[in-house]
Formats: sequence, structure tokens, C-alpha cells
Amino acid sequence: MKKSSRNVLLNTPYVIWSALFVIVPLGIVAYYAFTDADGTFTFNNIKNLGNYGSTIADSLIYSFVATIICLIIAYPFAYFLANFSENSQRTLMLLVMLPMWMNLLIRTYSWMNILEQNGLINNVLTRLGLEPVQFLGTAGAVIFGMIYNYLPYMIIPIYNVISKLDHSLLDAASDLGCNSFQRIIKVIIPLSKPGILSGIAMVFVPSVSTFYISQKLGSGKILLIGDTIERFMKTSYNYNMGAALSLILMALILISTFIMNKSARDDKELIV
Amino acid sequence: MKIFNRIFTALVFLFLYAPLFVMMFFSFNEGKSTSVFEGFSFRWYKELFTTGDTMTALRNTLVLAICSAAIATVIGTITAVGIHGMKSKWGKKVLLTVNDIPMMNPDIVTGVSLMLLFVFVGRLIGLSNSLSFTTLLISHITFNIPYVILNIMPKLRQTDIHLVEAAQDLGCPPVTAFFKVVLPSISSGILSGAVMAFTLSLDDFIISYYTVGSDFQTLPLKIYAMTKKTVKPDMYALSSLMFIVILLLMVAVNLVSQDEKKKPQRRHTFPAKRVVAGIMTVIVVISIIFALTYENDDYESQIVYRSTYTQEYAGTVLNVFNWGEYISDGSDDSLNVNKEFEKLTGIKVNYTNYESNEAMYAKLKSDAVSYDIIIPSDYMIARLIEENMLTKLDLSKIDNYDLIDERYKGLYFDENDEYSIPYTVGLVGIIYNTTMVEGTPDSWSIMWDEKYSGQILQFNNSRDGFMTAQCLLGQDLNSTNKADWDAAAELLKEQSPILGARVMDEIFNKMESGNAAIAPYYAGDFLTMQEVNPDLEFFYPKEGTNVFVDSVCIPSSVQNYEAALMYINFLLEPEIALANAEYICYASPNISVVNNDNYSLKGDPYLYGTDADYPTQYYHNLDKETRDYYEALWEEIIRTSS
Repeated sequence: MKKSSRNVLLNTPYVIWSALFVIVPLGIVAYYAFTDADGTFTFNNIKNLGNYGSTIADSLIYSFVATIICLIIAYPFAYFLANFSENSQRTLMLLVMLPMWMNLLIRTYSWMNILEQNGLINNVLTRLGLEPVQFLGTAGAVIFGMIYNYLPYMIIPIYNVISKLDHSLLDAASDLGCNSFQRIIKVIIPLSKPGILSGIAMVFVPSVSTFYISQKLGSGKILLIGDTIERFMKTSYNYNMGAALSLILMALILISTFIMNKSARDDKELIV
Repeated sequence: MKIFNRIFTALVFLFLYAPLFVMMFFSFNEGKSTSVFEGFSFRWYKELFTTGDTMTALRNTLVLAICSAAIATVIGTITAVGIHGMKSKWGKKVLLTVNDIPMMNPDIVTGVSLMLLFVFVGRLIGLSNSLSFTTLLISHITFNIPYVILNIMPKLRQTDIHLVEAAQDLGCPPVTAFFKVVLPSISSGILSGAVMAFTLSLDDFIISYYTVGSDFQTLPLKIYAMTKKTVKPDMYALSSLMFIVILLLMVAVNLVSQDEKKKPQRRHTFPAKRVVAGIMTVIVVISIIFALTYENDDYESQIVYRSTYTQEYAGTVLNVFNWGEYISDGSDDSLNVNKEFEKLTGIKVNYTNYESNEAMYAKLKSDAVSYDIIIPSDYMIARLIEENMLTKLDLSKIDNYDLIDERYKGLYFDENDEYSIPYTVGLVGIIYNTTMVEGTPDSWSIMWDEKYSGQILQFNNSRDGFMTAQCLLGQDLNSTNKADWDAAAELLKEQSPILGARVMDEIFNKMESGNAAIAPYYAGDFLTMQEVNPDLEFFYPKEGTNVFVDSVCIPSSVQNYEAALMYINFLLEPEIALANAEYICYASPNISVVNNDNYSLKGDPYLYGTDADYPTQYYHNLDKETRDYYEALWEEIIRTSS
């Protein structure tokens, strides 16, 4: 009795805090999403979301592609990294994390300078006698920005799992006649699934909701959900539509996490 | 294979570091650009510490990060211990799920939800400035707590419960047992949680962007405002310095953890690594303390004022909300207008930026922030007056009002001069790069010329974007006829495929560095760009163009009315108005500036040219139906272009 009442006491500040600043705000988003500017109940905002179908689809496609490419780059990278000596591993991981400490806005802006019509890359291309390429303002540039900014979020969880793999399992696989390729496909990848899944979540969520990257690298020609929410909240003064879109974004992420968790659980059952 | 691994690893690192190298390289640029290198200099490092408000923003950011991390760590630690001790599985699960919400939710949703909460509650209790430092702090604590809890929980699980029981058996009261047994064993979790909270808060842009008030600006918010215009290399300089500080810190942590592993054998040897790590930590701590306490105070005023200014309102705060780069701020040896005002009157100026009239309107309309001074454009002033959002000005307190040119009195949006005092005036024209464009263009149609495909810029703002097409079609810019807007939209859709980009203030960088050939913008900004890139030329299209007046106003949510009047009068002072006119490069409505022989732009043909032979039109405030109509068309135009 005494102990449990102590725990209640310890949890009280957080329960109050998270009720006020986590749960209630989500309720208020729902409230705004289902009311009009005068506060009367309406389904109009939700109906109007239909107009943003292509924006939502674009966001999903771009962030999906970015997540997949991140995975393709990050997985072998993390795997190679885990094979370096322990000291170099530590240093290299430090180098992976270091850019994340620099402001995302500055890094993205800096890429803008590199990818410009006569930026660094196009300068090299023209010197080589090639035609300059217009990078900015294309879907590719926006996806590129997502990959750049969120790649470390994919590398870190995958590396954490791979570096802690039980080496006796790998030896066992070799003993049982696996070649190194089979070892990767049959042992390492299945075992690193938790890292892959959390990496996917950590890249997909910020990508699908970004607005800064699309603003800068999309040159005002590409609109994503994040841009649209930003515009409703910050310039068109339409909180109701902004809230409705936020709600949809949240729902999309909940659904994808649910699907991912489910597939993770199915796998677990398979393994067991 | 080994070679391939190494090359691949190296390439990924090159990818991760490329923008950082570019950033560091340009922080040593002698020129103002972040894309054209003009020579090596330490100019921006010097400027960082002598001018501008970058250091203030850095200090604000550090204060916010330290406060929010400290509070989040305390709450998070207590909660983690509480959750760990809970018997009920169900209760544990609920709490941990709630804890996941801010981590799983996209930042933008967290930001929007908190902003709506503060706005909603503020309206409910009738608070006029519900968004403030406090709300920013609350938001940061809210997204920090989950990470603290997450870092501590595993450590608690590793703590041997029997040790606690043993301590209690030996006579320790539970509280002492907690401090003597539990706390030391989870201390590394607490520390890593606190560090994580600190860095997340330091770097947060999105959530701050939605929950910030009028009184506080953090570094990421300032960078965001800057990337809308041009990021000056001083921001690169600051980022490079921060990069080095962080690098030192991480190396120090790394060295200590390496040393700890080898401890047993190395006890007797000289702990070189520890000493190096210690020195590095000291450097880091000193630089943080330096940033927190830095005050550039060697500022002497030599200005003679027309009016007298008293210290009557010393100690009060004035919240000024203005366009980006729209006041002389002390960079490039210019006058720091706000600092000058602070020295003169003892009033503290909180200066924040907006990037469009509509953004300013939305912020004001939220009722969650209060400003004392705003500088909107003509049509927006009409709208604000219509919606009772402005306070009448007491002209008897603004002695310098007689300096305003008669031409700019009694303008259409404020016929009796009750609400606004002109600050700048200007016209939109077309800027082009003479090395990329043939001949001397004279028409809006050049923006539809396929020869320049990919090198044409357009406004990234519905009203101005439509204006370019409306002018070419010879329409009334304030038409309420939907067919007119449809026709303009058709024309803009035709233009989409040949556009290089839709931009607002990003235009500076693009035109200055020759990344685009043609762009519609304001005459004053052309002069700024031409200073950097002499190949640029400018013309007013023969079909006519848009004329604007930006005026100083006091919103109805004003908190410090008397100080606001004093500030307006101060802005009209000949010396101050001159400094602003030189800095902004827009035409001034102030006769003391226009007639001043020291004014470098005196009689400039673009700014003060004799009456034009092209028609000019003001924007008027359009009715909501028309606004919604063209906004929807504009969205459609952007969507068809991607």
C-alpha cells in the first residue's frame, strides 16, 4: 500500500503534464478539425481534404522512396562499420552523429548552394564539358534532401543491432555450410530487423511531415503535406484546415506504425 | 571487397560532410554571398561578435535549452522511477504509450497541437499574449521528457532490486536508499538523457516555430528567417564555431570512455587522455559561458535628434514585428537602429520578423501574441482597419510627422491618416542579368519567353504571382471578376514549365550568383543585388506594374502604446530614416532623407524617377470570396507544375 501510493505520487507530475500538454492538445486538434471558423461543428474540413489527395500522395511517395534509399545506403554502411576495429568504430560513429548536431536548416541551405544552376556540381559538370543539370525544384532534389538529413537516423539503429550480434550464431551458420552471402541473407538481416524497423520509422516520420526541405530544395514548385499545414497555420489563417491535415498526417503515421509493428510481431512468431 | 567497403564508407562520409565543408569554406568569404567566393577573410567572425543580434539569438537558445533540459530531466527521472516501481502492468503500458506520443508524432503535429492549445486557452481566458517564452519552454519540456525517460528506464531495469532491499534492511530509510543506491546506478542514464534533451532543444526548429511568441527568438528561428532572404556568412561562421565546439566535446567524451575501459592497467601511467579530455571540456564550458554572458556594449551614439526623448518608459518592453532585413541593424558599419533606440530611451526592443503580409496577419489574428509596432503594406492596412485590428495614432506625440512627403498623406487605405505612417514606398519591376538576356526587354512577356526556360523566377506568393499575369493581360489588379482570375491562372499555368523556381527573398542569392536570368522584384532590392552583381539590370514593364506603400502601424493588441509612439517618432528622425533608407534601399517618403545630400541614393532614377509613363496600381483589400477563389487557383497552379 505504502509503496504503491509512493509510485502514484512520483507519477503525478508527469501524468498531469502529459495530460495537459500531450493528450489535451491532440483533442484540440480534433476539435479544430471538426469545426469551422465560428466554432460550429462541421465535416467540411474533412471533405475538403479530398482536394489535397495529390499532395498527400506526393508526400507519401517521396518519403517512401527516401526511406528505401536510406535503407539501401545505411544497411551496408552500418555493416561495414561494424567490421572496423572497436576504436575506429567509435570514432566513425561519432563522425556519423556529428552532422546531426548542426542545424538542419543550415545544412539544407548549404546543399542549395551546391546544387544551384551554377553551384559546385554544375561547375564541375560544365568544366568537364557537360550540360549543367537543373537539380533544384525537382522531386529528386526533395528526396535527396530527405535522404541527406535523415540518413544518420537509419544508420544508428541498424549499426546498434549489427554491432551487438552474437558472433557464435554467425560461426554456426558458416559451420553449417552457409557462404558469406547466405550468411548475410539468412542470419544477419533477419536478426537486424528491429534496427531496420526503427530506422524506417525514424526516417519516414520526419520525411513525410517536412516542409523546410521541400521549400528550399523544391524551389516553390513542390507542395507536401507539411508545406500545406504550414501555409494554413502560418499564412492563410485557416486553423481548421491545418488541424484537419494534421489529423490525417497523424492517422497515416499511426497506420504505418501499426502495420510495421504487426509485421514485426508476425516475424517474431515465425522465429519462435 | 575490402577496398570496395572502404570506398563506400568514404563516399557516405563525403555525402554527410559536403554541405558542412561548403559552409566552413564560405564562412571565410570576404564578400556577402554564400555562393560566390570573393577572397579569404575573417570578416564574418568579427561581425558575429560586433554587430547584429545573432549572439542574442544564440544566448536565448542556450537559456532555453538549459532550462528545458533541467526541468525535463527532473520530471523524467522521477517519472521513470515511478513507472519502474509500478505493479500494474496495464498502468505501466498506458504511461509508456503516452510517453511515446511526442516521439512518434511528427514534430509539425506536436507543434500545431501545442500552438492550438495555447491559442485556444488564451482566447478562453482572454489573454492577449498567450504565446511567450513560457509556452516555448513548456513545449520544449514536453518533447524532452520522453527522451529522458527512455534513457533512464533501461538503467533502472539493470539495477539490482536486492541492493535496495539490502540497504533498507540495513536501516536506510527509502529516500536515503534511493539517493545512495538507485541514483548512482542510473546516473549515466540521467546524464545521457539530459544531454539528449539539451541537444534536441538546442536544434529544434519546427516546434518552436509554432509555439514562439513575440518576445523571444532562438537561433534556428533566426536562421529560418535568414534563409528566406540571404543567409549571411556570419551564420556560417557561427555554425562553424559551434561545429568545432561540439567536435571537441564529443572527442572528450570519447577519450574518457576509452580511458575508462583500459583503467586497470593504466592506473600508474600518466592519464594523458583524461587531461586532454579535461582541457577540451574546459574549452567547451568556457565558450558556453562566454556565449551566455557576451554583451557588446561599446556603443556610442553621436546622433543629434530633432525631438527630445525621455527615459520615462525605461525598463519597459517594446515588441516590434517587421519584415526581414527591413531595418538598419548594424551590419556593414551601418547604424543599429534598435540599439540606438534602446540606449536613448532605456526601452528594450524585441524585434522579430515575418515574411509576408499574410503571415503577419495570421499571427496577429491568432490573438496569441501582442505586438506594439507592425509595418504592413497598403492593402493589408485596409484589411486590418476594416477588422478593427489597428489602434489610432496620437499624432500630437509624433513631432516628426511633418517630415512625411505630402504625396504620401491621405492615401487610399487610410484617407485621414489616422492609423499609419509611411515607412517605404516602391514599385515592382523586372530584374535581369545582362549576360544572359539579349537586348533590352521592356515587357512582362519576357517572363513567358521560352528562350530562358529554367532561368525565370516567379513570386512564391499568390497575389504577387497573379499580378505579373494580370499586368500582362492588362487587367485591373483588384478585379472581382472570376473570369479575369481564370484567365490570369491560365497564363500562369502556361508559364509553370519554364520556371526555374518560385521564390520570395531567396531571389537575392539566385540573382546575385547568376543562377537565374529574370525575376520580378522590387526596385530597392534590385539596387542591393546590383551591388553584388553588376551584370544585373532593371526595368519597369510598359504594361504597368504594382506600387506599394509599407506603413508603420500600432495593432489594437498594443501593450506599450506610449513607447510605440516614441518609436515611430524615432523612426522618422532624419538620421534614423536616412540609415534605414541606405540599408533597405527602398524609396523613402521622408523629405529629410530625399533632400539630404549625404544620401547615396538621392534622386536615383529607379527609386525616385520622374513620373512614370507606365500605369501603376495599388493592391486593394479584396473580399473573402475573391481571395479564396484566387488562393485555390494558385494552389492548382503550383500542383500542376510539380
